Amino acid sequence: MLAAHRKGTVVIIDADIGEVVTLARRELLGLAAAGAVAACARSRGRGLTWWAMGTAGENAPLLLPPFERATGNQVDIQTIPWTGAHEKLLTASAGNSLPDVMMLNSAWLPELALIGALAPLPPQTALLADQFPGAVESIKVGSHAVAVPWTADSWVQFYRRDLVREVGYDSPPLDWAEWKRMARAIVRRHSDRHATLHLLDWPEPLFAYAAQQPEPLLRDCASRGNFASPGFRTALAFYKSIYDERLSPTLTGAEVGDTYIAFRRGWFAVLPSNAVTIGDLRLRAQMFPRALWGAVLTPGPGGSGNAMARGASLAVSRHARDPHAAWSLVAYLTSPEVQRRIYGITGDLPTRTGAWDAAGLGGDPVSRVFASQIARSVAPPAVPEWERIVFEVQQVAEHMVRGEYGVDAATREMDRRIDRILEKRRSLLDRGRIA
Amino acid sequence: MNRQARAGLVFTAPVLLATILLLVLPTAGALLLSVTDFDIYALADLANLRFIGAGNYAELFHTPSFWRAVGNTLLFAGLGVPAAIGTSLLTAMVINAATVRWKSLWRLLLFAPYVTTLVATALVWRYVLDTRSGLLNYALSGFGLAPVAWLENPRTSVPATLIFIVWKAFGYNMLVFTAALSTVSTELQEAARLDGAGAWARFRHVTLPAIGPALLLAAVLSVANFLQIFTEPYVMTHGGPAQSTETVLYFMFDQGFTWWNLGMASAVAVILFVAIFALTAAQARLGRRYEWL
Repeated sequence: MLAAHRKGTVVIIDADIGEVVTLARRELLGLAAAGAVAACARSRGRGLTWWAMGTAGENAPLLLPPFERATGNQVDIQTIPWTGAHEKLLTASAGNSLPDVMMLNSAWLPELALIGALAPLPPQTALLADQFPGAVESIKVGSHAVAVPWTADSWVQFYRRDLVREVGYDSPPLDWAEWKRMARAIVRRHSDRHATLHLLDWPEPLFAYAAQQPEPLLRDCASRGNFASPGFRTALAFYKSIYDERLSPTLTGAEVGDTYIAFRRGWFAVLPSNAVTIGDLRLRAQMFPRALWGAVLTPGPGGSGNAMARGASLAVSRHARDPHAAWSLVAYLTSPEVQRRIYGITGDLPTRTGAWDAAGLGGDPVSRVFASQIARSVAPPAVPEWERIVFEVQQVAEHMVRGEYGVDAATREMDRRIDRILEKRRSLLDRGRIA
Repeated sequence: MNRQARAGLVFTAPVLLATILLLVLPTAGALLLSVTDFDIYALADLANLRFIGAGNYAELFHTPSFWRAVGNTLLFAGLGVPAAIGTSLLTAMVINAATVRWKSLWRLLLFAPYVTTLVATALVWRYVLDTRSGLLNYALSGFGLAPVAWLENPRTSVPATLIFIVWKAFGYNMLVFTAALSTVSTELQEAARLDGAGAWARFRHVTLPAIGPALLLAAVLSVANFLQIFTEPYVMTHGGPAQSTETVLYFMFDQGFTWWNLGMASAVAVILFVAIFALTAAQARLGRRYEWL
């Protein structure tokens, strides 16, 4: 530790040690005072830049002081809304202005790896040790890890206990047919209400239903859409019937406004959502006492179903000025202790088993639901075009719900659009330029 | 080359150079890009670039969301250009009226929106247009009218965005018109009045011919600006709801920077360039006929 200090770099939280972080923090408080003289001599220009998204990004400054004290690295953090993050990352990569460390939606990794934006993980790193196996799979492109899992997520159903109980259920059933019966009963009981809220601009509900089908979403080495497959057709038909039977309102997020106020008013009983909702409901504890709501797995055609793998990861830019310091920031942020803190602030779930145990998450019923849903995650096809494919499929689905297509016509339109998007990929595969 | 020509070249060289570097070269670059399939794969490795001729144009022709963007843009321009020119001409004439006092104060106040930051004012207007807590709906409720979901309903999103755009842009044309109106000869006005011409006849036959060139300039600039609307919907609605405020330029931005299909985005840019060029040429022809040029 002292040797590192004499070099003037003071990298104690090391990418290669990972787990040492908690120890180091305690010791370093003392060391910081002792090393004050050395600190004065150190140039102040050494800073790391970090882009963080969404609620995690908004709260990220809370996590940094221990790291900054321990390493002397100032972290310049920029919070970016998820809506603009994808285009900002691509543009920054093309303009060579990516930050040293970036928080990423793990589904974007193939795309960013393709354009060479991401640095490979340090050799023999402990960063991927003690992580859930699904989480490690989600950050691999080909067979190489290109990022470190940071928060785990999935897609479950949050529900209002009182409204579900009114129609004779303890919790929303996990089987499609039975789930439908419950939903119809709720709508029958209150003609001015709905059973669930499937926002038209959310691709997640549809893709959760699609994740329960045996067929892959893309075929021929992920070079063509497979949306006309019987499985996806079944999922889409189920999705469409939810609107056709008025079980969900036909609205986009902007039209609904505050989802939680609508949920509290009982405008719908089941809110399919991800871990962000844990933090959101906790923030609104006045409005949502703990006894009012619960969470269960996503329903499937024959009982509890799968969901698309979700989650955020941390990656280091290939052009990071000080990769060692950047990886030490990643090591610090993905340490079990910091992951526990994030769970405490935003509700984002840890990816490290150690953090999970220490936070007592195993005893919390909602976290247990998430744990089993995460264990039933299906990874999205690892193609750079995936983000756009999701966007296009959801657009067609929205037009279908608004009455422009039937289910079969919609699946054909999806395949037509996706095949066009993947045309370049096919030609590159033919020429052997990509594997 | 004689001395005079050399001097002329020296004086124009800086501007010429800037024009070539910043306008001609990028335009030529966009033209070249538009016949390739430059995309994320080409960004990763230029060897993945293919020359596809008119492929991008053919594909755009078959892309419904492109046509929707074209329709939205025409709606913006069709409603916005007359509204913007009408508002600015009307305010200019009111301010120009002999009976109006504090002329420069009015000019200043009405011109102010034009010089404020676009994104900042767009954000403020998003609050004004907010369904639940917006000033506009508050004012409407004073007349007993139900709140309107201005930016959230596909039917009202274009008019609501246009209110903001016209408010933001009309100040410039207003100044142009004020300057032009001050050149209208008062003797001619009075002579027409003595000959028994009404207000409309005086406007049509005395004022309009005098401000014709200004009107043409305003029309040319407004058409070009309204066909290139992007920032306002980007900040206020993100192109929604249901793509109702997605303009051609927005579509181009999405293709180019969200999905990084620069080939396709360049094809859109070329189409927009040709469309604006053709419209401006048509306006110039019209102007020549009325001897405004």
